[in-house]
Parts: sequence; structure tokens; C-alpha cells
Amino acid sequence: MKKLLIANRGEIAVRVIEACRKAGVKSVAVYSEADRYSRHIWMADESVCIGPAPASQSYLDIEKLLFVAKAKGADAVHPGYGFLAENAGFARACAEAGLIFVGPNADMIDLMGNKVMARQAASRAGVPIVPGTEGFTLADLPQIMAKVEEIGFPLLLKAAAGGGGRGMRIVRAVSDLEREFKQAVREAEAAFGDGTVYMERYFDKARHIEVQVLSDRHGRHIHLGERDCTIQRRHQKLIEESPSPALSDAERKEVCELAVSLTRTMNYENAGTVEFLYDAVKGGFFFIEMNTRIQVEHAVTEMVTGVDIVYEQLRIASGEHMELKTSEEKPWEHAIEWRINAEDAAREFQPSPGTITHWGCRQGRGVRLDSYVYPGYTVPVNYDSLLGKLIIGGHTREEAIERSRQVLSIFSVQGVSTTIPFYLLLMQQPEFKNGEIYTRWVDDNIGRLYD
Amino acid sequence: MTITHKEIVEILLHLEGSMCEEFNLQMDGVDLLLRRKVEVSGASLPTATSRPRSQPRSVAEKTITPIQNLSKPQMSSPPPQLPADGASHVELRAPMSGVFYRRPSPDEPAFVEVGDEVKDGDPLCVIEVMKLFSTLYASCSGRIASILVEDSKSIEKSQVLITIDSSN
Repeated sequence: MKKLLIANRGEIAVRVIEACRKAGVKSVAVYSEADRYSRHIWMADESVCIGPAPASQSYLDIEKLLFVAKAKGADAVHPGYGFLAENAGFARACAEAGLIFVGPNADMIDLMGNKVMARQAASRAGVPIVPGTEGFTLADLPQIMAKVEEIGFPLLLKAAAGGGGRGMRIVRAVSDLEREFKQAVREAEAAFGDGTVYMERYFDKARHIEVQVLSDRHGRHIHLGERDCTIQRRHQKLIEESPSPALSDAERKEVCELAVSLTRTMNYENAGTVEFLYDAVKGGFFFIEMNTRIQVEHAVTEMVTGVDIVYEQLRIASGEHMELKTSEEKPWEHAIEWRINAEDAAREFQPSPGTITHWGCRQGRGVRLDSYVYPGYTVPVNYDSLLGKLIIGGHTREEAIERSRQVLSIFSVQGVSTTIPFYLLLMQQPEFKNGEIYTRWVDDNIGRLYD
Repeated sequence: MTITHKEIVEILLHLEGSMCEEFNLQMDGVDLLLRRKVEVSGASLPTATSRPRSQPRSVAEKTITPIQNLSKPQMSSPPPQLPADGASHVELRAPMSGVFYRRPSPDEPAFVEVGDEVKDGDPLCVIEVMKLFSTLYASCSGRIASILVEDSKSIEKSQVLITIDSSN
């Protein structure tokens, strides 16, 4: 691999460019007109403006991206996360254009992208899945009513073409099912172009446990441990940590091995994350989905293993063996990531656009900030609200929390509101300290926290 | 040795009268950080409508926030929807920068066209800010006088989007 085009923006574009530098690969950044002052542009070796602000005319424009890659002499493309990262059509188009796509092949993206098929694949690999059904359309309504007995309530209606926490509805009673199902199909059709909906048992008190996996082209399938991403709001992750405070060593080993049995069975390639629900009441892991890309929270795993996952992605995509050399800074026993979003938690996490006039974070041992913003930067309104990720390491979970508290309490941001004050409030809650949070905890308690 | 409440109050009083931005005291058992916080006015979504979901802060409020207590956001009145020239025209302004949509979703018709009659509380448009969509509503009844922004265009905070002729 000589030259890589990063088909993304924001903090992940910065991250990938850093890995390029380490690997001795030249980087080509692309940007929309709204991102003209974005940091990844001047970090890259070359940069090209690919269109106006709307993603459909820039970051999602496959033809344009391929044209720029060829014109700049790039031989590889990294899709980051979001945008085209799990778009099998893009992976296929790259392959047809003779470009290395940093990720698994299009067929694997297709397979895991269809949540119903992904569940089947997991089952075949001997991985337990959440009790649930195949996909249904509106015509199948009678069959659905029959299946409900098997699954039990409460249950979740999920879009087969959804994922990332989108396109989900909770149903608590059989009297609500028909209405909710019809609405879910309509929404799935509008949002994902595919109205197929399936059902899954819903666990009221569950933890979200995911395993970072890495597979190369030489038949080596490994895991890099698990992450606990239970602290969410409306199914969107806010905070992630590793290792999970809720699991025993035996459980940790179990879930990691389940993840690898899936990648091995599929003969997966490159980086990915296998996501599970952990029943906090009775124990037990259930596969929900697999993300066939690098994730926002990969940095947590890097902090506790010392492995540079994005660098390994480039190696794997080049056909090399994984290096898995730990970084100079020794890995930490525990790491927590705090997503710094431009949102006002006191006002229902309303987005807070604006120009950042001050952005100051304490640096030091055990403190890593992956960000693309700087004082004077105007946050574009056209993309997500993630300004940066603060990843804190500690020898114990308590130490990581305490260090997080110290750093977050003096992390100074002016010009936009951020989720930082919310995290300081959350850290004081006993359920957080005891590791007793479940996935809906923030949604259920946000009113009380801001009383 | 520890610091007393009285001593903290004394420090605060001294700081209040000074130009000091930040004060950090570290000693046995005590780590006190005081930072002068400038609150800037921030509009909320939706605003300037008959159904505000939350209240924006007042302009340029300065408070010294002891780091031990997290202060809660201030509540104040929403900014008024200013009538433009021609006393009966009411303007709908963008509560913050974002992307303006005239329709609820790409395959549905626009909420309103010029000349349509609307009632107080009718949906007029959608604003997208960082992937969050909010509907803006009419704060009065009347006829749509003008729609000043095209579908899917970027808008700035306070930009006039739609005007309603509320004269009878």
C-alpha cells in the first residue's frame, strides 16, 4: 500500500492519517465545503474538496470518491465508520476499480449488514442469539402474532436493514403489537429502503458487551478483549470501558471466544466488533449484531492492549501479517472513553452548534484525546455532534474514574455546550461507581438527574 | 488542615471584585478550583413558537462556579418572535444554524406553500442540526406570506425562514 484515500471526516479521518504516517503510507484527505477548515485536511499529504456540505453530494458520493482516488494515484481506501463504511456497494466498487478496501470483502459486509442473516450466521457458528424471528413484511402480520408466544414480552421490533441502534421499537403488550409493527415497517422503508422487520426478545436490564476482533488473510483470527458500552442514550453510546466491570474472568473468556468462533467460521478479514447483550439478571450472552468496520470506541481497546488497531488494519489490507506490537506507553489495566459531543445534556441533549472559542484539555499519562477541533473552529451542522473522544487509563477502574473526574472537571470548552458536565454528574451516581448501569439507565434517569 | 466555608466565601468575594479568571488552591486535603464562567446566550430548539420545549439562557451572564457544585442551567423567557416591517407580518427565525427542510421527509409534500392558511401551532418546516431533526411550528394564525429559503439549504441562526401575514 503506497497511498491511502480516507473516505471520511472528523476525528476518524485524523486517526487514520496518523496510522498512515506510522505505516509510511501517503494519505489523501477529502472534504466537503462545510469541512474546509477541518484538521484532517492539513494533516494529510494531499487533500481534495469533493463537493458541497450535504453528505449525499460529498462523503457518500461513490463515483466522486473513486474518481479522486484514481486521479491522485491512491491504491487503497479507508472508509472510517458511518458514511460508506458498511456499504457493500462501495466495497465492491473499490475492488472493481482495483483499489484495496480497508475492511472485509463486500459479501461479508452484505451478510452482517442484514441483521436477520447475521443472526443466522452466528447461530451456525454456535453463538447464542437473542430469541427472535426471521424478517417479516406487512403481509406476514398473522404469522407474527403467532410467533409472539415463543419470544415473550417485552420484545423489540428491529429493521433488518438497520443497525447502530436505529430503527428499533419496544413493544410491551400484545395489544400494541399490530400498530407498532405497521409503524416500524413504514419507518424502516423510509429510513433504510427496506421495510423488513424482525422481532427479538427485549431484556429490561441488559449490558452491552462487545468484542474487538481482528483477522488477517493468513487464517489468523484473534480478539483484543471486550468493551462494555452499556451507558447509552436512545441506543447511542456515550461512554465505553474495558474491561467490563460486570463480568467475571470466566465470562470474559466466554464472550471473547464466542466472537472468535464467529470470525473463524466466516473466515472474516480485517477489524470488526461482535456485539452481545449480557443478561444482567440471569447471566448469559446473546449475539445482536456484528460491525464490519473500525468503531468510534476502538481507542479503549488500544489503551488496554497497546495494539494500534488502525495500523493493523492497514497491514492486513496490504496482505501482511498482524504485527501486534504494543506501543511505548505500557497498556493500562482499565480504560474509559468519554465521547465529547456538542450537545446540551441539561436540555435533552439538544445539539449545540457554534464556534469553539476555547478548547483545553490536560495532557499527561493515561490521558488520550482523539479530536479534530481546535479553538476558532466552527462545528459544521451537517454531520454528527462528536467533537472528540477522551480516553483515560488507570491501573484500576477506580483510578480511571478518578483520573477521568480530574481531567473532565478542568476540560475547558467554550463556544458550544458539551456532554462534559453530564459526565461529571454521572460519575457521582452510585450505579455508575458500582457498575450497575443497564442500557436504558440514562433514558430512565435523566429526568431525575436534572431535577 | 482544611478550608472552612467562611474562607471559601471570603475567597469568592475577593475574586468577584477582581479580574481573575481562574483560581486553583491545592493543599493538604484540599483541591479547590474556581473558574469564572461566561454564559453566552444559546437559543433552544424549538424557540420563538407557541410550544417551546425548553428555555434559552439569558445573555452574557457571569457566574463563578465552584467546581464542587455543578450549577444547573438558568431558565429565562424565550426570545420574542419579532414582527417585521409591516406590523402584521410575523417572522419565523432559525433558532440555530442548521439545514432547512420544507417537507417532513424527502418523499412527502412540503408542509406549506406561499398563500396557505395556517393556524397557531401548525408545523411549518424542519431543521436538521447535527443529525437531529426538529419541527418548527407557527406561533400565530394567518397566511404564509413568503418562504425565504430553499429546501435542503444551510441556514444561520436568526435567519428569517418564513413570514406569516397575521392580519385578518
